Amino acid sequence: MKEVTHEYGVDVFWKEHLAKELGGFVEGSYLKIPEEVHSGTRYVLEVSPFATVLIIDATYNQQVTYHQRNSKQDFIGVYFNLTEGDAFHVLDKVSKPVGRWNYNLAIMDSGLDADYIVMEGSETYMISIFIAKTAFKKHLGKLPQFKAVLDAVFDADQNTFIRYERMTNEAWWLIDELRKIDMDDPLYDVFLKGTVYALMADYMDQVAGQEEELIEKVLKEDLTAIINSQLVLLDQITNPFPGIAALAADACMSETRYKTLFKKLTGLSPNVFFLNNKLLLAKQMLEHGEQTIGQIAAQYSFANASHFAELFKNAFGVAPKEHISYL
Amino acid sequence: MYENTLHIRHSYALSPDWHQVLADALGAKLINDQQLVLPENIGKGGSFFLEVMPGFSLLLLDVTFHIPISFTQQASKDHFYLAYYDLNDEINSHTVAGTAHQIGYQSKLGMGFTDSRIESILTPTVNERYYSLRLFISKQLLMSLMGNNKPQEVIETLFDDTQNTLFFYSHIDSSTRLLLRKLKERSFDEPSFELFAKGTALKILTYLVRRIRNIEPIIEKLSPADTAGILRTSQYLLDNLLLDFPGVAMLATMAGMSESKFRKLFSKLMKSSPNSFFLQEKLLLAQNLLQSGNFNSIRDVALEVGYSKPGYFAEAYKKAFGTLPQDIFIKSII
Repeated sequence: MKEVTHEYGVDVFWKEHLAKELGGFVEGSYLKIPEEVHSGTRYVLEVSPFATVLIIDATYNQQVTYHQRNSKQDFIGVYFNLTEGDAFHVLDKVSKPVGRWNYNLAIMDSGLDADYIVMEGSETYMISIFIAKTAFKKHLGKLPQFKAVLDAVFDADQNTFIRYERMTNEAWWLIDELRKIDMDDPLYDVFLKGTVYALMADYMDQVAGQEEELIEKVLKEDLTAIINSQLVLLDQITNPFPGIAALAADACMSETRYKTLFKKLTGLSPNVFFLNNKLLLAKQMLEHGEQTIGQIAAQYSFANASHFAELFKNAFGVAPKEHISYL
Repeated sequence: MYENTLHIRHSYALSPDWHQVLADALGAKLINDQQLVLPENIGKGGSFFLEVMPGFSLLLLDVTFHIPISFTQQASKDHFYLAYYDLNDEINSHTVAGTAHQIGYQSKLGMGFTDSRIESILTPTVNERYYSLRLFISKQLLMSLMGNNKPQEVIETLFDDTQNTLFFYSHIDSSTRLLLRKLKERSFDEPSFELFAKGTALKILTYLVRRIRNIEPIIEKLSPADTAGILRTSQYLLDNLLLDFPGVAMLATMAGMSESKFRKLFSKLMKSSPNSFFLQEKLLLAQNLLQSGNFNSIRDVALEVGYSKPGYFAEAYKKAFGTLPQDIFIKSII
């Protein structure tokens, strides 16, 4: 078990210190960490003068507790966390599970003392973006629901900015695409910057779509039920849509309540969530080029190839055939 | 109505000053130093310009002009590369009313890669939405992204403008097309637009560099007359996809150069030989027609694009796209 006290910032002055605390060193954009702590990579890139990104793609070989104690209070940390395994944020002695199936998006003021525990054996993929408060304010200030409360939200005496949320389906796919790019290619930096901007745009759209609250008001049981339901849907992604009745029964809710909650928590209806993921997986398969449109349509239980083609065109704006011919 | 076309001369730069100059020439407003809004008498919509990172800027045009207008983009002072993507249907086919067999086709290449010092003229169609993304990329940035799949000296020759002009035309690749479709759905006024546009431009730059890396380098310096000659022949081929290949001799004459020079320059600009370019475009048109629902049989489509034997057509089609015409054919309902 290891305990590390460290800090982050928009400037990357903290790189060496963090690497050393973990028993490693800095090599270009990489932090090289010894195997006994975790295998995999840590990569740091300055996206612009206002934002820096840290990628952690690692499997932990021992439990590590991080104490984030920032000396700079001028930024917001946005953490997209796809950890499989147990990881927790501890704040004011309240612990929140984070990772792929829990709160997988945290937005936190740098002024907060946050502790983060990752258990041995966890596989982590995490994108941390450190954004200058000035830039964060400039962009979020364009949203009507923030305009009125903007100064209060960022006034350290009145409020500490912290939110735990779940990333959108769109964000998940953006990250999935990034993970396929070779990190040693000079184009990786360009693509990573593009992904950071796309994730921030997606986050703004997510906030814009939320009706009221800047405060979470969801019961833990409800959240767990909906996350489980998403898992159930992804497990049977090649089958036809199981139907709201079955899904609601599975989640022990009425159909109306199930539909409302699912939409509130994911921003999508169960049907659209299911179809989007189906189409994105089918698109990947199409790009591999080993199967025909007909075979893919059958594998993902579309009525027939032309039904698949129609839905594909609705979702992406081009027909599957056209998509392949310009690849 | 206006009798005369409004002529605007302007030039591009990596930094945003040129946008103000263009706004003044058009009598347009510039909001936040980013968004140009056309005055109503000239047209609807406008342009959006943004520096994404050092050496990389994006320009987005989403305009519908109400009057005839022409833009002459003069050679810019600083040297950079320009990639443009015109998101309009690349193949338009339309049936002339009442005459079942007269179908006009217009094919054009949606993507171009050129040099900021090459002058060009844009004449948008009046009252038609024109949507185009342009990326401005500094030479230094582009060279730093070339990777190592080519020897360093080849890359240096490729980018040395005393020896070579980097210039080509193509269709928009699928990954780029999907991103552009999403971008097109958004208004410049959305709160997240700036971030979204930056993200899109950076990803498209990635796809562009991958394409440039795969280009077989044909080192040759192009004069404006050479370029114009080649573009004349490629447009001639695109306008006459229903005919047989006219032969290199005729095309070389049209371009005003020898056959051997023509072959070389055509391959440099269009990334394939004149013959295979023509064939590929013919088959893309055929693909479009097969799915148009305007034909009763595959045989009719084959005849339309100039194959008298459906078997040959199927063979060529299969070779180009890996599937047979019947896999995608949609029969006419009438």
